[in-house]
Amino acid sequence: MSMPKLVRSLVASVVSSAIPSLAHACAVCLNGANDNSRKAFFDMTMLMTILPLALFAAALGWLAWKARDILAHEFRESDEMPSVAAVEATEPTA
Amino acid sequence: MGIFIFTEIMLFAGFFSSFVIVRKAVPEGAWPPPDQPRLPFERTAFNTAALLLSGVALYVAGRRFRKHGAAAANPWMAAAMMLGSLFVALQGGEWVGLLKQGLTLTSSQLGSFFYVIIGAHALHAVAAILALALAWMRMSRNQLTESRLIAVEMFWYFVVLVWPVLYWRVYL
Repeated sequence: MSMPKLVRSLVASVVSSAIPSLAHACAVCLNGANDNSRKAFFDMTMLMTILPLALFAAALGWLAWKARDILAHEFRESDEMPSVAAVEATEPTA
Repeated sequence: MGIFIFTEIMLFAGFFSSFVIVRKAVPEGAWPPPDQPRLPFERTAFNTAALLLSGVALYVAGRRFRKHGAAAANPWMAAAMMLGSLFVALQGGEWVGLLKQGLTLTSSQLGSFFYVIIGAHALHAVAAILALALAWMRMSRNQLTESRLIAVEMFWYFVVLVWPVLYWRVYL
């Protein structure tokens, strides 16, 4: 960046920060101008914050539910097997 | 498919939130813009009904596939596909009418949001109908697996369930 450009940028920054109305070049700066708009910003920020967390929670909940279902069958199969003591009791002693 | 649906939900949430913020920034009574056509809310209710019915048809198809096999589910799957295609065709007709009335992508903020949001949904609907058609062909040949059916179901249910939210927010 050449020196005059740098100076111009600095002057523009100082002027725009000193006079807030000039800084409203930003596309969203004027959107908070009324109550409806402010509420919309708040609501949509909440939506975009909570939605991915809710989706993750739902996915984890579903996985936990599936895992519980699978593990329940797993343990039932092992429970149905005779215990070692029962097998030993039925075996003829030498 | 779950991860894909997750990203799609976030995509539509982004569209939705930007639309709501822009809509609320407009002063009371100035939306839709006075020089722009009104969106056909009543006529689109019929399209909405067709889409919701296609979701019900796919639900029945899924249940019948799991209980009675492919042959029992086949007509329901075809019905879901037909109703989905009817929805897309009716939406296309509606777009032609709106374009003729002067609502274009660059005519106003309403036009930009309408074509981007509803267009993105239509694109998803077309892709999901193609997925349904492939699943239906596999089902007809008795080659459709449970996991493939679940993937197609998830995609179509997403397309069906996101629509009422868009309809309520964009058309009203």
